[in-house]
Amino acid sequence: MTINSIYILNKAGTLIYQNDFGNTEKLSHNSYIRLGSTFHSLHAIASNLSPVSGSSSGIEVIETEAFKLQCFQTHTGIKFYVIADPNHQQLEELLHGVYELYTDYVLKNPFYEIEMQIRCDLFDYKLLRLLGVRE
Amino acid sequence: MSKAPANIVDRPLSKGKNEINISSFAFLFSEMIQYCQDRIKAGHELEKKLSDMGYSIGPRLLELLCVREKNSKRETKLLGILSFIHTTVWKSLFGKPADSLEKSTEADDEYMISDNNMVVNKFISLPKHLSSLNCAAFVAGIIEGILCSAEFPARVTAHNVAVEGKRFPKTVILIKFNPEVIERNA
Amino acid sequence: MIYNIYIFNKDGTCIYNEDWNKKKQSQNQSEDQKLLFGMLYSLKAFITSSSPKKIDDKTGFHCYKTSTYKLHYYETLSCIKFIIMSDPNVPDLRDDLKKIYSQIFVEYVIKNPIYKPGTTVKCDTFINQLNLYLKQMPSFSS
Repeated sequence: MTINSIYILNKAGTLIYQNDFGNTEKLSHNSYIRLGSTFHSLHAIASNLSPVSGSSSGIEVIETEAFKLQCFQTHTGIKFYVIADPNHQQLEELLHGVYELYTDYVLKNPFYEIEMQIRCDLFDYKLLRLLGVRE
Repeated sequence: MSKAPANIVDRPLSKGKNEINISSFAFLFSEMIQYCQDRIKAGHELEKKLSDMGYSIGPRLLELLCVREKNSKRETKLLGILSFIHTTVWKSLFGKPADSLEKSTEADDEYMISDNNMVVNKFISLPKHLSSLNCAAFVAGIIEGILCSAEFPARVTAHNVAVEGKRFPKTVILIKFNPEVIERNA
Repeated sequence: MIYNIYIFNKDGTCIYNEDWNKKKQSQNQSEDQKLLFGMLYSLKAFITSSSPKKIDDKTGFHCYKTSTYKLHYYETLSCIKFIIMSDPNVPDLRDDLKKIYSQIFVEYVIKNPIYKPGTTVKCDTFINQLNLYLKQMPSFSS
């Protein structure tokens, strides 16, 4: 099952990590930033539109004919979302795995400044291993 | 449950707990590096700072290991102290002996201890402008502290060495003894 | 459980909106309708540019899900948008939306000579038929 892209947004909605896998078409860096903040606002509006009282999580899954988007928001407000094949079933587990790698190889790295762009070789490497992508 | 003797000196020496949580260590070590980074002017000073922090641990660790080791004796031979570091010190610090101990082929006074998966570097990715830095400078400092207090004065530094077929370099601790140590041992 | 239905004409005006099993009193109905339409508009643009493959503008988007509700989406070739919000566990309702369009909306609204295309739907037969259809669905109130 193909995984196309992974995005990480900080709690202000700024894109701090993005990577495409396989033969996914690359966009310009600015388009990725724009897509990230668009998703951040869609997520917030969707939770406002809830027809049920009580707080709503915001968008967890988007299903389309070409892909499926799964989002996981941590209690600290960081959003991880993945774009994958519409029939992929294990996206939730995958995002938890990415979160775990983030806490290990990003947060424990003394050279990482919190809330900023993630540029950690070890994180990239472990992420590819997690996805089973060959370099 | 047996009752512990009331007097502390009557109790056997405790072996000490030899495992700690890797996350707690990683966070502490990360804070140490950030603390050092705030107090330096140029990149290369970071290694010096870390090494200095390690240096003060060396003599204390040597003392502790001598007390805890069974039939420990004072090492007077160069190879003796090196294998003590390679095995005993490494085991107490990292729970396993180092991967290799070699004599340099280029210089008579240099020895190398290498470790393929340095625990202190487990979560660290170096930024581009510091790619030659190795945070195991802290461990090098500990080794230097041990050697100097055991009367084997030396300069100890940590280096990244690329390994063929591996994505990430291994850590080599380079020990360069002072001339008098080599002379004495000859 | 089905919470509500929205129908938007091609200009983005809400021409029909009804709530069932209501759990929250909305402060401002027309504000909500505008917010929903605006959100769907940017959501579709987001989907088009995020998609790894070429995606159809009308049939591309199926649904999205949050912890409290699920939004089902169906858009006709004439750009009329049918939206149902249900609880998150309801399976895909796009076929039902399609039926509501072709068998109820076209029959009782479009074919009604008094109805002016693009205006708010007030036809009683449509409202009755729509309620009949939805209330016989197993997921309506369960």
